[in-house]
Formats: sequence, C-alpha cells, structure tokens
Amino acid sequence: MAKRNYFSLGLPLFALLTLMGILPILSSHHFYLHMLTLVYIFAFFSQAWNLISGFGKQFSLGHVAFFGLGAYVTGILYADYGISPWVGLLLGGVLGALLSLVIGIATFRLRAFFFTLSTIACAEALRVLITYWRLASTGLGTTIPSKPGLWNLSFETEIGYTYFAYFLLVIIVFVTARMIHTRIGFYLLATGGDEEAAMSLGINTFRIKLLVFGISGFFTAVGGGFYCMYTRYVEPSIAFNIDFSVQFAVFTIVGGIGTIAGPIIGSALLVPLSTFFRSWIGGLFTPIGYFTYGILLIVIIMFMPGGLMKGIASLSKSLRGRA
Amino acid sequence: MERTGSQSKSEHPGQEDIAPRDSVFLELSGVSKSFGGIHAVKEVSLKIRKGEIVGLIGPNGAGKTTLFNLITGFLRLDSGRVLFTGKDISHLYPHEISRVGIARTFQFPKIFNNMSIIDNVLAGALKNSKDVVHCRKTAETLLETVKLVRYANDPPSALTIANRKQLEICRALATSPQILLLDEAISGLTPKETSEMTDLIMKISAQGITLFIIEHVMKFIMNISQRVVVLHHGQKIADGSPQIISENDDVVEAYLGKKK
Amino acid sequence: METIFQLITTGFLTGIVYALMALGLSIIFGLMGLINFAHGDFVMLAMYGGFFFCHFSGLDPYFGLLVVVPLFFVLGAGIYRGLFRHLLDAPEESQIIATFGLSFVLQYGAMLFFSTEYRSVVTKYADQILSLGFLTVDFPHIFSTLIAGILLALIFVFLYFTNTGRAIRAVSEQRRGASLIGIHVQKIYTIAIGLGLSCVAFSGTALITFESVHPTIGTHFNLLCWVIVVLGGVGSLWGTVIGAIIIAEMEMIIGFFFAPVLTTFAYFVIFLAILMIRPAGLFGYVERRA
Repeated sequence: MAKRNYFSLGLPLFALLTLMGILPILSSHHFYLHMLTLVYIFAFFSQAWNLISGFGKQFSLGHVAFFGLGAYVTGILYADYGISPWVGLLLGGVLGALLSLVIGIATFRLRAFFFTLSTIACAEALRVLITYWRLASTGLGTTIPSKPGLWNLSFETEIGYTYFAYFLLVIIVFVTARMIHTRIGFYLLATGGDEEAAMSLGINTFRIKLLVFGISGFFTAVGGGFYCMYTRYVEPSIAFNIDFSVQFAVFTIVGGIGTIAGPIIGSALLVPLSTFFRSWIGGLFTPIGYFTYGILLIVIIMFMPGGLMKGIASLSKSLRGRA
Repeated sequence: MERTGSQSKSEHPGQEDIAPRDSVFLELSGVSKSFGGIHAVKEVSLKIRKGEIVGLIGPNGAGKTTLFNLITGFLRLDSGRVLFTGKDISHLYPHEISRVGIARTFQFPKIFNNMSIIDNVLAGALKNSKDVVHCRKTAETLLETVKLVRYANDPPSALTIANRKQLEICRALATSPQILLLDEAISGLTPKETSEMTDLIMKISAQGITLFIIEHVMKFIMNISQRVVVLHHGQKIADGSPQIISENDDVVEAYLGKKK
Repeated sequence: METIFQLITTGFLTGIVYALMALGLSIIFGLMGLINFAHGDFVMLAMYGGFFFCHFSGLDPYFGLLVVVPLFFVLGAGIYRGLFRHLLDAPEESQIIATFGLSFVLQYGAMLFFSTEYRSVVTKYADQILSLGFLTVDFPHIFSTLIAGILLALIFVFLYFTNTGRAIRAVSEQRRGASLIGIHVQKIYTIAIGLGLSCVAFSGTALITFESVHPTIGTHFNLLCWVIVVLGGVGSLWGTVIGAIIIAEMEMIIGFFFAPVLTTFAYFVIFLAILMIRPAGLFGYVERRA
C-alpha cells in the first residue's frame, strides 16, 4: 500500500479524477455544467470536512463558518473595494486557518464533543455577527459584480467555473492522498482511531488535530470564496446556513466517511439527486430535502456507518488509496 | 519457570528493595491521587530496576490501573514524583512519556479499528522513523513473532481477545521502549493463550526491556515476576519476591477468597 | 440604574425557566452520557404542543400539560426504544451525528406540518403586570417562573432525598468507570428519561407563554442548553441552574446595551473562554491532562 504511483492515488481514483476532468467538455449545456460545478465543489468541501471529521474523527458540525468566512472576505473585498478575488481567496483561507486554530486550541485537549459544540457555536456566532454588521451598514445581501477576467475570477463561460471547481477538487484530493501515505496521515488516523492509544505511542495528538483542522479550515474558506464568486451573491443567512454543514457531512457519510473517494461519490450521487428533488418540489429551501438528509444521517450512522464505500471497498481496495 | 539473570536482591524476608541507586530505572516517590475525596492511590513509593520483571497485584479497585495512568501521564499526580532514569517525568504528557522510552498497553486493548493490523503496529514504529516503508518492515517483523503477519492487511475487527492483546503489545514494542507497562496481561485468555503470552513476555524481557505487569491472576504473576508489589485500597502493602508475598498475612487477607 | 434592576429581575425569572430546560439535558447527559443534539428541538415540540392545545381548546397552555406530558412520555419511550437505546453503546461520534440528524428531522418535520410562521400564545393574563416599586413583572413571566421553580424544587427533592433519586445521582456522578452494584440500570435510565422529558414539556409550555415558536428555534435552544450545561459544569445539577440564570442575565444585558442578536456571539466567546480557562465549568469535574 505504500507504493507511490500516480502520486499515491491508486489507479481507480486516478481514473475517476481523469474522467471528471473530461466531463465538462462533453456538453456546453448550462444546466449540465452547473451540475458538474456543484458536484465538484461540494466534493471539495466534503473532502475538506472529511479530513478532520472522517480521518480524524473530530466532528465539525459548524464547517459552514469557514465557508461563510471565505465567502464574505472574498465577496466584500471584491464588491466593496475592488480587490482581486485571488487575494480574497488567499486571505479568506488564512483567516479560516486562524479561526480553526482558535477553536482547536480551546477544545482539542478536551473530549471531542466540546470541539463539535464549539464549531456549531462558532457558525451561529459568525452568522449573527455578520448579520448585525451588514444590517447596520449596507444591507443584508451583497451582489458581486461580474467583470469577466481571470484576475477577477469571473468567467464569461460557465466552463471556466466548472474547471476551477475541478481544479480545487484535484488539489485537495492530492493533498489528502499524500497526507494519508505519510506519517501525518497515520498519526491522524491513529488519533481518530483511539486518541489515548495514539498518545501512548508518542503521538502529539493535540498538534496533529490542530494541523489538520487548520488545513481543513483553510481549504473550506477558499472554496467559500469561489462559491461566492460563482453564485455572485452573498448574504448571511445563506453563507452561514447550517444546511451547508449538514450537506458536507451527509455527502461524506453516505459516500463513505474516512475514505478518499467517499466525499466524491457522495456528492456525485446526492447533489444531482437533491437538485432534481428541488426542481420537482420547487423553492430554494426544501424542508423535505433536509428532512430526508436528517433521516439519511440517522439511518446510515446506525446501520451502515461505512457508507457506500464499504460496499464498493470489497470490490476494489485501492480506490480508497488506503487498505 | 526459569528466569534469566535475575538481578533482584530482595530475597531477604520482609525486606523492601535494597538495590544500589544507579540501577534504579523507574522510581515512584509518595505518589498520590484522589477522586472527589476517595484516595485511589495513596503515598505509593517503589523502585524498579533495569531489566526486572515486576508484578503489580491487588484486589479490584486497589488502584493498579490508576497507578499506571499516573506513571504514563494520563492522570495528573496530586502529590509525589515519578522519576525515570533519574529524570522527573511527573508532569509530562502521555506522548512525552512515550518519547522518554515508556510504553504501555491498556486494560481493554485499544486497537485502531480504522486501520489495518499492520498499520496499527506501523503507527507505533513511526515514533522513531519517518520512513513509512522502513516502519512497515519493522511492523512485519514484530507481527511475525506473534504469528499475525498473515493477517497484516486485514482490519482488526475479527481478532480474538488474545490476538488483540498481542497486537497491542507489538504496537507498543514498535516504539522501541525501554520499559513496558502491561495492564491485565492475560485476563480473558485461555490457558493455552496464557502460556503463549508468558513466552512472549519472557522473550521481551530477554531483549532487555524492563517489564511492569498488572494482573490479578496470582499464579501467573507469581510465576513470571522476579518481584511483586501489592496494592490494596490505593496503598502499597507489600513489596518483595513472590515467595515472600505469598506468605505475607496482609496480602492473603486482602485477597481473601480471591486466590486463583 | 433602575433599568439594570429591571433587567436583572426579568433575567432571573427567565433564567429559572431556562434552568428547567437545561436540566433535562443535564440529567440525560450526565446520567447516561448520551449526547443529544436535538434537545432544543424537543423543547420546540413542547412549545408547539402548548400552542396547539391553547389554539384548539381555548384554555391556558398550562392545562395543556395534562395532555402534553403524557404525549411526551410516549414520544420519549418511542425515541428511546427506536434510537437512543442503540446509541448508548455507540461511540460518541455516532451519537453526535445521529442526534444531529434527529434535530434536522424534527425541525424540518415541524416545518412540513406546522408551517414556518411564528406562533405564539396570548394568555388571558398576558398583559397584566405586577408592580413592585420601580420593578414591573408581567404575569406570564411570574407564572412560568413559579411553575418552573416548583418543578425544579420537586426534582431536587426527589434527587436528593429519595432513595431512587440518590441512586440516580450516584450513577450519574460515578458514571466514569464506577461499578453499578445493586442498581437496576434499566429502571434508572427510564426514570431519568422520564425526568428529562418532563423538564422539556414543562419548560416548553412555560416558554410559549412569553416567547414565540418557530420550527428552527431548536437550534438556538440547543446551543443555549449546551452552553448552560458546560458553564455550570458537566455533571453538576446545581451548576446547570446557576449557569442558566447567569446566561439569562447575560442575554438581558447584552440584548439591552448592544443588540439582541449579538447574544449568540457572546455565547460563543464565553463558551470558548470557559473551555480554555476552566473546562469543568463552575461546579463540574473534568479529568483531562491539562
């Protein structure tokens, strides 16, 4: 399992990624590309969540905090100050990492449950704070102007966004794969497996958790910035909506938590599904959809904690990149 | 059961350990710990010399595992000191304790269920080397000694309790410790498995690793230890060779009806 | 200055109700170690229960307790058998995710059945007030505090002065690695859940008399209850009560001097601060290498 082919990816995963790289070219139909973009970006978000929550078993249920943070930093800097979204993305990412450090330092020496609670509180707190701030100043919603140009992270054609999302997904998959095959990955898995046992092996679990959570926060914020530029609108009730947190978790868990391909599979399955659901029933927020997510979470955690991957795993181990 | 090269000098009846200072490896001095008014461990002092096999016995609730947790940094001492090769390790975190050279197993084996069997051991070997390939080889060698190597890539879910304990020991050994603390070495094992575990422990000792073993099966401890420490209600009530201990009235009383 | 006293008084009254709400969580979490991220949503359901009873019968929601409490026991038994029982042995992660999912099921289920409008109850005495010097207290608050306070007192008497109650506390305080000698565990768990649900039913009914309900209000209550439990100290029932009062006061003061909306932000900051400085909270006990 330590063989380094295709940068530690394993053939099936590499093939999947390559396939996903080709898909956008197959059709220029707007809805098709929009679907792909969503699948890719949610796979990206879910993978970032999977790092700390799947491999590390520290469940963050407030990951939307990073998403919203990145969305706002990028969106406001560009819309109000004309600063390039690339800068926004980077700055958002750094702030996301810092936020994760704050939460981590406060909670990672305690039971994992305190961490989870803190992430929920954080997301709510940020939502409230930004709402208060924007309400008092420019009004709640902010529209992002669209001036096409790579420097502005605005693309004339939909496919630009699709490939950007794909690009982000590829980056995080590679980062995850590299990590899993090196010492940090083993230490992270050990920390998630049994933290006390890990400590008894000389592993500084506190530091590992901080590191991985920081990476997760960074990437999620970056993705949030992209999302804001893609939808060209940012508003507190959307950017910090707990529904995002749930989606990251559901997609990962359904696909297979703690595996590299899990988030990808979960997103590929559920994003189109929920979109069709939505267009069938109508409206932006569908209670039935999230009701179903809730049921899904309960059912899967209780009866099939390994998600879909568990089933596929017996067919091909190397898809996950880790036995 | 033969013992190799015993350096124990505590053969004298009723005598505490009288080892020369420089061979003391692990030393506890007045270690105490209370939980909300209940003394789990009270003023325990003991010395373990390099290369010894020392048993820790006592009735349930005597404070044995608590003592292990105090030594290995999982619990904070209320008072007293723990010294290892002369250095004060009383306030170190568990991972720092491991890095100093102290390894341990747990009362109920804590296996990484999200990793394969060999990866469990690999994780331990990584303490001394970043090279995953090299550590994998180390892990393989260790698994060979307990005949688990053919299951290397399997998940640990199907392992028997004996195998789990063996896996945990391999994992601890992978960190190249100088002293190994075994908690409940043979509880839940069949006689055959007990005998295998005994062999394994002797092999470990033969490599020069000091052993401190908790077990409440008297026969096993008396067989394997060069010296035995007895805890009761958190206090040390006896410390000496198995022979001395088994004739000690206090010990017999503490174990009334508990002999196996 | 008078405003401050007014705020403190109202805060105290609300705090008692919060205490009852959080106590339900504290008992179940402290006793069974079950992490429930849907607690606030049960409170939401209780509030709807009170609302609908009032809506259909025209009677005061407190009378509705006769209906709501039994309903909650049935609900509780159902959820216990169906879900919680399996979760008791599951790792913490599963409890978190499963109850998080449950929270969503309850919230969006409520949305489907009850619509998303804010509902509130106007009791017959809603606009009556009591004046004590410069302090004014409205009747809904008085009643809710009275009822909540009485129930709290009853619960404390039960837990501290009866044998069953003492057994429950013993199990709760010694949950970590203690032996359950001579105590019938199943019975204890059932009683604990019953207690917890009673707290939810009563506090929900009390809350609806002065606050409005909305399907997603559970998230807010969830956070509130958990912050209270952590502030007061996990495992300490008195801590929960004191923590609740402190939080309610804080809500009042921040809401008045800054903005009501910012209280949530304050919870987060306080929460992190507690965890960094004293994770055991005011009266709790957390053993972790520090």
